[in-house]
Amino acid sequence: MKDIIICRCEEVKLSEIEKAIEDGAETIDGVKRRTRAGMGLCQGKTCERLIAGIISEKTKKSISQIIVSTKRPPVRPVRLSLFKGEEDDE
Amino acid sequence: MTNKCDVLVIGGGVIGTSVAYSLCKRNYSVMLLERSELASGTAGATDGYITYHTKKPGIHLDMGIQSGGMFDQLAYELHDAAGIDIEYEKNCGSIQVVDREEDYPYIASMVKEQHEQTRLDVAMYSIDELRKIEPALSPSLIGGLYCPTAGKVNPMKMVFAFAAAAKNLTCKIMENTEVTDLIIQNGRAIGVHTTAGSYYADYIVNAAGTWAGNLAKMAGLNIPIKPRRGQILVTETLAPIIKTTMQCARTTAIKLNPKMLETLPEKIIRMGTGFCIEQTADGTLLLGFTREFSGFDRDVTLEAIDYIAARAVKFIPALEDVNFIRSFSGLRPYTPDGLPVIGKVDEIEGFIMAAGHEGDGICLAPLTGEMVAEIISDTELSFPVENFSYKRFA
Ligand SMILES: Cc1cc2nc3c(=O)[nH]c(=O)nc-3n(C[C@H](O)[C@H](O)[C@H](O)COP(=O)(O)OP(=O)(O)OC[C@H]3O[C@@H](n4cnc5c(N)ncnc54)[C@H](O)[C@@H]3O)c2cc1C
Ligand code: FES
Repeated sequence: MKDIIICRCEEVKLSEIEKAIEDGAETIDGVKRRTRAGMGLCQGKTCERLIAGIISEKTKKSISQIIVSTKRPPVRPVRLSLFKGEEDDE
Repeated sequence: MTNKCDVLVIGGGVIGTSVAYSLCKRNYSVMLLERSELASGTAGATDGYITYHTKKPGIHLDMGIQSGGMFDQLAYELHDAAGIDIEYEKNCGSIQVVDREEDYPYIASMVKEQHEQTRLDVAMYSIDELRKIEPALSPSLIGGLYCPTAGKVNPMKMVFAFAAAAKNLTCKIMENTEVTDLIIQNGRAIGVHTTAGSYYADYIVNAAGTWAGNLAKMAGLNIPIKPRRGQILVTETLAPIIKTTMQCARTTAIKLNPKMLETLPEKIIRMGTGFCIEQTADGTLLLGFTREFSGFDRDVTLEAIDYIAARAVKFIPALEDVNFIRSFSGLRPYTPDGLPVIGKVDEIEGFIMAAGHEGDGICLAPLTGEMVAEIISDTELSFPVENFSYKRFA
């Protein structure tokens, strides 16, 4: 198969994902920590299912075992100036 | 597969993998047991400062300087052995920025002490001088300390590089393997029970970070390591905007003068907040931080996001239009005196501690690994270990 880009935001190729899995990554987080795939602007919205599919194929694990990343804020990018902070910082 | 080796290392963080690597370099057969995945603990949810001025003059600072000095060689070595670049940036420098007049005298006197007691290159600068180093800093700030020899590194890459280098030598890495009990026979630790079978070794190293207290309990020891949460926001990728690692001086000023706490709002005391910022090799900014006691909970809270984001814009006004895209939190392995627990345990032969590095584990990992390997091989120690005994809490 051609070495296509799986994570567009971080430009991570299929071969890099496969290498991470060979190195022991069995979850989305494991691949993310090794390759940065899923850490881009869309925070994995585009690539996460694809990566899960690749891991599942290689490890024979079910998708639900693979996507265990905890979702933390924000849901979409937020401008820092939207926050007001503490009064003592006025 | 054999279930016997020379040394079992518990914990796949930066300390456990560093210990494993140091042992493998000396030809020990090692099994590293990690209950989840490598870097899934604190070493995967942290900044990568290699700083000196943040440590107390004395053994803490001395250890920091010695361990920090090992990164140069280590970065080459790990690149060679594992093909992984740990993104070590030597001499990127570090700044502690003062934003409140009342903090200034404390920082200035600490700088004087650090400079007089060690060879550390650290001094106070005005905000105009600091802005020559970091033009993005707000001119409304007061000034601060600058240490040009501080560095930074990618902690996650460090873990994977240590692990890969160790694996290429004599280490077996076992992920998804949680230690559930120690096997102790006639006062000697001889092995562990895990969720994936039992393993035996001559030595067992407890490098379970924040969770090391739980493992010590299995050995009947009470070692007061507890989680101190730190929350971090991650921004979108930016062109280089800052090159040093920065912190605000408030946390240090409070450490030096705890009375100051009385003047701060309850929320800030509870979150233990300060401010820090670092730009990673990928161009994202890591904005922090909190220092909270909230058990083993790794959530990110809205009040912390609000606080950190606003403070970031106050220190670096250009961040106003920048987006944050992700957040995480890590659990620093806190000890009552801020020093790690390293070394043999009198009650149980063969059981060795290497945990509790609180906010300095990345910086102190190279030396900690060497010290543990020196203890096990009974060779001369690169750094005195007495001060790190768990006995000091008795
Ligand atoms: C927000 C934040 C910022 C920080 N900034 C810096 C910095 O700039 N510079 C610096 O030097 N330090 C910094 N630190 C501190 C540093 O991150 C820690 O000291 C370091 O990561 C601790 O590493 P560790 O290997 O001891 O722990 P961990 O990485 O937590 O490793 C311990 C491992 O043990 C595993 N484990 C636990 N129990 C068991 C069991 N029963 N069986 C098997 N495995 C088990 C865990 O899953 C975990 O992976 C920061 C920390 C935080 C939270
Ligand atoms: S495509 Fe992977 S993070 Fe956006």
